[in-house]
Amino acid sequence: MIEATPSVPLGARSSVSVRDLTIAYGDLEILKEMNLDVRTGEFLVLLGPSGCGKSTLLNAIAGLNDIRSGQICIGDVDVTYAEPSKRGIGMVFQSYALYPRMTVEQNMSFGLRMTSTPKAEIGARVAEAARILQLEPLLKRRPGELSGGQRQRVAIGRALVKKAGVFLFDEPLSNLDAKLRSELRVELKRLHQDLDSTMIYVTHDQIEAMTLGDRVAVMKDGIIQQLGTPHEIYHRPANRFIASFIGTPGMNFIDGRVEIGPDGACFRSAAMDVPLAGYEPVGPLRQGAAVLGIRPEHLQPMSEDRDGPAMSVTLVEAMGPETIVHGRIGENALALRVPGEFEGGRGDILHLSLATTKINLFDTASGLRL
Amino acid sequence: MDRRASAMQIDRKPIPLGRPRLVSPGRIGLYIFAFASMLFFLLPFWVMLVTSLKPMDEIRLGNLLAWPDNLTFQPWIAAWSSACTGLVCDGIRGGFVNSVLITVPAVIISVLFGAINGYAISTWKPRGADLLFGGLVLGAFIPYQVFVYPMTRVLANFGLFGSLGGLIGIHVVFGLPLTTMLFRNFYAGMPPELFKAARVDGAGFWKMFVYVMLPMSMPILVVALVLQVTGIWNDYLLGLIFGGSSYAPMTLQLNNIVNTVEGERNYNIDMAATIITALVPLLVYFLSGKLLVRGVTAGAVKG
Repeated sequence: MIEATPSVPLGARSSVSVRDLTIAYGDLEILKEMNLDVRTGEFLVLLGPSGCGKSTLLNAIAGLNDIRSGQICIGDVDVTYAEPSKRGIGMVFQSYALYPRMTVEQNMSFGLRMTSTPKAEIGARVAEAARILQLEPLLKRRPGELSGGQRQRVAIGRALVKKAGVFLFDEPLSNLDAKLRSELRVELKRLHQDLDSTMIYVTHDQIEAMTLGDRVAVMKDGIIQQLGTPHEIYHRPANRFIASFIGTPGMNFIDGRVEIGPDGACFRSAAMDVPLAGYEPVGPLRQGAAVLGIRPEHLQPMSEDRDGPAMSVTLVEAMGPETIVHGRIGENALALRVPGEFEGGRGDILHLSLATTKINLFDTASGLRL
Repeated sequence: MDRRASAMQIDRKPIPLGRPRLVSPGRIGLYIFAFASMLFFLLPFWVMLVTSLKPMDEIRLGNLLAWPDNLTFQPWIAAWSSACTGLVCDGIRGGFVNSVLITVPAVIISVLFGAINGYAISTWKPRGADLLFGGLVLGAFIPYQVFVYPMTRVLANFGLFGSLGGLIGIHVVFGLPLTTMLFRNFYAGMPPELFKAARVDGAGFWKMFVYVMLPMSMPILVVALVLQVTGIWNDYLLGLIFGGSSYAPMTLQLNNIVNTVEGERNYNIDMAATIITALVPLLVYFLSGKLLVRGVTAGAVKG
């Protein structure tokens, strides 16, 4: 071990900053000159499809990956080449990664025992973490005797007892069934509110990302596509990939062109024409090919028989509180989210109204927001 | 996750609700086959056992399978303490002591180093680990007779030829490829997140090995111990070549007893000496029993 390794003091809430980080195996670049700032006390979610580099980034912050170039700071300390244990972090893994031969208590205290913390303090901290996570009755059990949800709580407890300045979560809920997942999601959110710790959370589940994150970084191909609040990500996606990745069903896209006329800008396509007066473009709009994006809930059937674009219904999915209606206008497949029940079925013709303030415009070639 | 939990699940197979009432012909055939197999494998041992308990007069009658009329333990005592190996006549006990002196350190060192090697290769993946492991696998499959001559020269150069240390070293060297391979494969099957968690918790190379890996290694430890104990105990060639005159293992002594003939061949003493020599590996198999089976199948039932 190198003597001069900097170490981050435990117990301090820390910010995390990643500068020009490149991680590559041979010629394969997993992360490309990544920059990311996580604020102190923030819950940041790294969201993306598998293989996008989100876990690699998390492992790099934890010090578990070799990095090619760049810098990682936790708090004010440059930890780029520091041992994982010197970074003041706690980490929770998808497979729980509990030590199978140790009891819950031993699992939680292992990190403290490795740093030769006084016995009395270890006991106090384990008791505290067990109280917060309601693990007190399970302290003497082995991981094999616990349910999935209990195991993951122990794994969280392991990070908790260390008073980690930064919590790193690597898809912690992915191994749990749907009901438990939503319960633990709420628990995690509450934990973050209580502790006010910095948390970085990797997931491919957009519901976890939207509900947990103060901010969400959407990643693809080793690049952060957009970093923003869940609201921004959802309502003002930076490109078509994000627009289609976030939301179930994803955003509807209609190919057409932007035309600048005497009455202002207008989107024209075979399916529908939409005035762009209410749209806030990133830069000045220019005439040319474009893609219109609209969320399923911002397309609604009109109650009266007016001459909106006509969609023929192909499929109806009843979800209980809402119904997803799939249909087509010419070449374009569309989905609408209709509150409550939908009376109608395949072959019906619906005339649509569109919330013109909620639309998105993307460049046809680059997919970037206009 | 937990080995014990997964083992419990294996034991919890659906319990048959009562035996089938009618014994089918297939089942009868199965039992006949099983019984015949048992006889086939036990018969030689039975002959050895009854022969070792008979006086020579009775053996001469030729009733190979019969229980002794005059039961005697004299051949056992003779085999242990007074049978002649060449010119020396103090039985096989000296060989027993030698074998223990050789086997115990050689097993401990080869298994421990194999565990450390396997752990280092699979967990820490140092540069060149794959190449090293490839070399080890190759080493495990080359018949060790090939190395006898070069090893003799090496030991002679170091002045270790014919010494206990030299013989133990030889056994360790020849055992390491196998033990390393066993542990490497066992550890490679563990979730990598476990090592990551231990590193985040601040466990270094040795602490992770002692506190995290070793406690989980019971199944493979048993396999390695059994293979090494029986392998080294049963070794004849290496003991013959490298043991010199003072550290001849039990197998060598046994051979000398059996081949030292003055007048009549003492079959009862030969048999007793053979059983005594085979006792240690036999006991190891019996005692390890279930643990051994669990270790051998450990790869297949990851919990």
